[in-house]
Formats: sequence, C-alpha cells, structure tokens
Amino acid sequence: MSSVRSIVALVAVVAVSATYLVVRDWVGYAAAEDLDPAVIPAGSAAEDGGVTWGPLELDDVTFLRDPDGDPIPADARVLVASFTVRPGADPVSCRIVSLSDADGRSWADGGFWSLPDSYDDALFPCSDPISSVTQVRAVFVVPGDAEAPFRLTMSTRPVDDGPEPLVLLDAN
Amino acid sequence: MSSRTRSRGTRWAAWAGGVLLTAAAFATWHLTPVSTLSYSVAAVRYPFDVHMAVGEPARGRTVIAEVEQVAGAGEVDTGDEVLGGTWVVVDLVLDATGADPRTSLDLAELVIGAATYTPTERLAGTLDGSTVAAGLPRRGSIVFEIPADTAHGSARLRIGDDPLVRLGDRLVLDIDLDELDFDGTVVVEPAAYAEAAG
Repeated sequence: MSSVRSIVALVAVVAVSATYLVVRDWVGYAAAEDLDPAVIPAGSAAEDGGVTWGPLELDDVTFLRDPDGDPIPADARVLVASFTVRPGADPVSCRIVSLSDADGRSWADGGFWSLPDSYDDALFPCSDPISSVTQVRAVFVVPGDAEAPFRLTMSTRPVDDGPEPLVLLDAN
Repeated sequence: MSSRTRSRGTRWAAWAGGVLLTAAAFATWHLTPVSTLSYSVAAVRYPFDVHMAVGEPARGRTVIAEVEQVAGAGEVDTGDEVLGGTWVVVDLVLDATGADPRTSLDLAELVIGAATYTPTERLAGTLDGSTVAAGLPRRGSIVFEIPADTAHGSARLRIGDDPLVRLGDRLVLDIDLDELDFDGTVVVEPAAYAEAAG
C-alpha cells in the first residue's frame, strides 16, 4: 500500500506543479495582453471612453518627399494617417503605436523628415492634450509592397506603461 | 501476482520515473534560455540563438539579417580618416520582420573566449544601434576593435533587438578568426538603405 501512496503522491506533485506553472504563466500572459481594443471599421467613427475617434484617412504623399531630406528607398511610400478626435468633457491624450498592413507588418510613425519643413505645421501629435475637435496626423514611411487594408493602432494612454486601452482604426 | 513481483515492478517503475524526470529536467534546462542576474539587480532571461551563415538571410522574431562578409583589418578607412588597430568588420543587410514597429539593433557584440566586445565608438554611421523598418532594409557594417593578441581562434557574433525582451531571440554567427587577414585595409561605408536612394 505504501507504494500506491508513493505513486499517488508523485502524480499529485507533478499535477500540482504543472497546474501551477500553467496558471502562473497564463495569468502573466493575460495581464500583459492589451485590454479589449475598440475596433473602428474603415470610414467610421466610434465612441470609446467618452471620446469619439475616427474615421481614419490615409493619404499617400510620396510626391511631397523632400529630395534633400534623409533619402528613403525609391519604391518606399510616405503615408499620412489622419483621424478626428472629439474629446468629451475632459482633455484627452493618446499615443500612436503603429500602422500595420494586410500582412501584419507594422511600422512606427516618425517619417516626418521625409517631407518638406512646411508640412510640419500640418502634423498634430497625438500626445498633446486635446480639448476640442482635432485632426491628428502622423507620417509613416512604408515599403512599396505594403498592402491595404491598413490598421492604425493607438493607445488612449499617452505613455507606454503596462497594459493599455487600445483603439484600432481601419482604413482601406 | 505475488507481493514480491509487485514490489520489484514498483521499484523498476520508480527508477524509470526518476530517470525520465531527470531527462526531462535536463532537456528543459538545455532547450530554454538561461536565466541569470545582470549587475546583481535585474533578472535577465537570455534570448534564443538563431544561427546565421555568411550569405544567407537569417530571420529572428523582429530582425532579419544577412551577413555579406566578415573581414579582419589592420586599418579601417572611412573616407575621412584611416584608423589603425585590430579590427573585425562585419558587413550585413538588416531588415525588420514588422513584428515590432520599433525595431533597432540594440544588441551587437563579439564574443572571443571569455571576453565580450561591443562595437567601436571610434566610427560613426555604423549599423549598430540603428533603427530598421520592415521592408526597408539597410546595408552597413558593424565594426569591432579587439586586442591584437586575441585575433585568433573562434569568435561569435551576436546581434538582435532589445536583449531584455523575455523569450526573444538573437542572431549568432560563428567566426573563425584564423581565416581573417588582419594586415590589410578595409573601407567602411556609412549605413544606408539597401535599395537605391530616391
């Protein structure tokens, strides 16, 4: 009988250890996941947290490239993503995370250097407090084979600090 | 079945179980990245190694790299100046997979024996530390200055994105320093997009 108890104990230890490891890692994984993102279809606007986001528009402004700026590959495209933010009673800030294409490849914004200096005034960063209806604009440099539909991922928290509420804006 | 036979069977099962668990523990230890302490304050989980070969693209989670050439040199010529020393120059094309929108070559090191060398700071415009975007590859060099008496035997190049990302990976290339010529001059071009600039 003692051998039976040993086997039962061994099986119990293995089972409990495995369960503990799986649960611990799963809890950590779940905690690191983005909170339920609000997905806003192309051409639409939607309210999330009292703020209305969208619609997202993508303009190909490759023709505006500054030939004297930092050179980019000949087949690269310069896209300006713009979307409307209608804040509620309180000012809102946000942080643009990425623009991704149909293949799931993602790019960070910041290709403003490829455009003429005069275009800077047309850009409005998401991180500044927005207290009235505002058109946010950001520049992305993507390869020529980047394919629609595109998706802009942004956080309604201006600073990257752990799990964050996301808004996903789609554009065709 | 007699109790004697059952007892012998149980004993064998216990031994077999013990050996199996030991083998599983060894396999887990061998296959997973090493966890250690860095400067005694932060737990660092080393990334997985993805092995490279010269002339073949290697793909990590966030970075794609193709080493075009590894050269030794007694001088590096930047066009503006010629710097003497003992150099290992790695020419490569770097791209991003797009898994992370902000990818940069934060990890670049050359391991020779027990010593780890970081890229030289005497040269500007090299690829180490540069950002790269998916589909917009950059061509350039990573340059290491090493003591002359270490320029023999084997070395290992490690490159990658943020080395502190848990369960990330890094690209590694084994280099035979004995095959390199450390007497010549190597021209180091500034990093630039791999495609013709517009």
